[in-house]
Amino acid sequence: MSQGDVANTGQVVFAIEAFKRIHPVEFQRRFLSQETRHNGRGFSQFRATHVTKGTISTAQGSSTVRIGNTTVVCGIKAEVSEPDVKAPNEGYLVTNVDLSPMCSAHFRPGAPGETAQVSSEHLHRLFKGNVVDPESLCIEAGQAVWVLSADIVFVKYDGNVLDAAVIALTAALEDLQLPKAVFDSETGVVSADRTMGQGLTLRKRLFPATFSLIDGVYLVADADDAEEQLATATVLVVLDDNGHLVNIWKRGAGNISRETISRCVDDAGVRKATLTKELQDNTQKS
Amino acid sequence: MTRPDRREATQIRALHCALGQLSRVDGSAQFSLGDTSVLCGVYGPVDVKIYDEKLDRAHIEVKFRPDIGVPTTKDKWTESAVRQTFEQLILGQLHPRTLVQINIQVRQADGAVDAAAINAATMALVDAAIPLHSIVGAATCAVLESGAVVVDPTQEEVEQARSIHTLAFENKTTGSPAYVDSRGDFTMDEYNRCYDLCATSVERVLAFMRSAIESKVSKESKLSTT
Amino acid sequence: MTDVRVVIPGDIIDTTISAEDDGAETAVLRLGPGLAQVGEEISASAAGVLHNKEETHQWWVVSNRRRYVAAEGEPVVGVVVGRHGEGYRVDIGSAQDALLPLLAFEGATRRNKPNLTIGAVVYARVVVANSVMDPEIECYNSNTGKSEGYGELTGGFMFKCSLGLARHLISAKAPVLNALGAQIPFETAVGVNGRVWVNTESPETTVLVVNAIKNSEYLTVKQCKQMVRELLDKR
Repeated sequence: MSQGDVANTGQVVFAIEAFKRIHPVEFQRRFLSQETRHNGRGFSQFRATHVTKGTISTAQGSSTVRIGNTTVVCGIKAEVSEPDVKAPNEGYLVTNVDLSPMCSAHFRPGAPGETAQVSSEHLHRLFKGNVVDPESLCIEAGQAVWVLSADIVFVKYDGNVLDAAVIALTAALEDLQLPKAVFDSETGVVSADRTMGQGLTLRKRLFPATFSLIDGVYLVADADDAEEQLATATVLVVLDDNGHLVNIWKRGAGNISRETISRCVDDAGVRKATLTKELQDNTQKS
Repeated sequence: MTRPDRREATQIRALHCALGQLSRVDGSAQFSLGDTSVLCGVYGPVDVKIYDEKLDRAHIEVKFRPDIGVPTTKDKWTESAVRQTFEQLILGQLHPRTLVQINIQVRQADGAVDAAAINAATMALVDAAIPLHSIVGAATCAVLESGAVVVDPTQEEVEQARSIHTLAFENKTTGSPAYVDSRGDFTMDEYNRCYDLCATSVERVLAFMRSAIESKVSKESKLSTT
Repeated sequence: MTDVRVVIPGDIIDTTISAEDDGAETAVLRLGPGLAQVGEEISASAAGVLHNKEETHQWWVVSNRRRYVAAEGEPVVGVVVGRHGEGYRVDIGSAQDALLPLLAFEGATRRNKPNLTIGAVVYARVVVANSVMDPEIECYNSNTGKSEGYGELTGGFMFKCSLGLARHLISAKAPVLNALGAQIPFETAVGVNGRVWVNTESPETTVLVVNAIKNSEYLTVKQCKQMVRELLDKR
């Protein structure tokens, strides 16, 4: 287009990358108003999710989950500790989400940021009691219990922390092999036999689905980083094996009606089916 | 079914609200739901740290302190939830390059603390005359083991509940909640029942807030009307 | 105004302009503080008493607050907190400190200008107040070059109060000031930023005046006169 054309039509021509950077909201709006998304997905389409269990041989339980360009590794370390006096036969589950500058420029080095802390806490709230029975982690009441330290480390970040973290932790817990531990009441020492591992019985598995509201109107499933930056509200729906709800968490502004939330729950059900398959197909690859 | 404190299943605890009790902050409110009591102090618009400065709107910060002990990641979670609820409610574009700080201190916790915190923050923001899009009220419901749905549960009921639902609604937009946190093991049907119960309870909370604000305003404008 | 309407944030306000005025040149709706346009509707953004002027289609909400937001032309009382090449930094209670240029005084020249120390109290007028710049104040009227009562306030005592009370005191019909003024001589400077400066012949009287003003916030005219009388009698 020549200079004259620009002046006549009053339009300015941008390279697409420049447009994306200069006016990200308008860039996304152009796609969304056409019932599509900049990454080519439909509004309720999730990215392909890949789950691999047992990716870290030195951890008692581990998994790697890829949701599009988001990659997360989860490792669970089991250690023996004394129980809390208030709950003598309950073990602990400690969750820690790590979003370092390695995975995205949004995060800064140093102490965990708000996203990391909030995600860690939310995971803990979802899994403790609901998924892991604290009493199943008891070795000897009042003397010794298992502490499961789950580290969820993001390697590549392209949106949707919570979905990735929930799937990774679910897979890692399924992969978990606890050594057979025996408490010697005379010496007060716990001896663990690493060769005799046994899995942990989970009460249920969790299947998350996140939806983001962009520009106050468009509700998209599984937003990537560029979309997430513009989202004003998010809805997280977590289902269990029986199709019961475990969590509905709507945050931020924007009118998400009751009908929309029930539509999200339906979409989460569809995703659950694909995730169930993914979790089963990839058992014990290592 | 009888509840430990002999309330009806759909009955919220006694509401209490006092505005402007703190003298050094720009606005404050104490909000109580029965034995759950939360104090909130708001500063704003005040000077903002360069790092947080936003050129087109005010920066909103929430500090949440529990009744016992020092703040932990649990409280960070609440801070984030409260901040996201109020971020779009505050007309921050009217005060760019400033900070609105919401400080929440739990005085007594007996269930439904998150709801009380949201209610206290709304009232403190109104007391500080921070420009708001609308006011927001919150309520909590619990589904007990028996399947019964009770509103505004006490800590005792929270511990026995199968799922807990905290919902907040704006004064203006009915039918779409400003905040939802439903956790536990529940069905869509149970969620809908809690939704309805929270919505009607929030209406009562909002009506209570309105009368509390009105009595504050009429007390202050006594001079100009006589 | 006949009936008083109290509004809270989110209340929709019907500002429909009556039919006979509609289309006329004057039929422009003017919204003051405490109101905001949301989509097609006008809604309150602060809690307070709704006011309107029928003739000019002006609507505004009078609310009380404690934090000052600078607005052009308003008289303020501030404290000098710093000095740099161009002027003084003055704390007027708003989000950012205000700038008071060295030459913004009556008769000030490059050679001869007032020297304020840190901690000095000044009475000034806001000349620049917008969202992108720090506020700027001056101690004279730049059109006439006269001080018009602005300048450094020496001696006396400064205290803080709510902006609602300050606005009321400045409106010149405040019963507390009239009642006090009838009995004892005193000087006062009221800033709409919620800071009031008082000076009398003795510290005891200053304390009395300060207490009387602080007490008057929620009192009616009658109660106010009674309160002042009681304070003066106790002296």
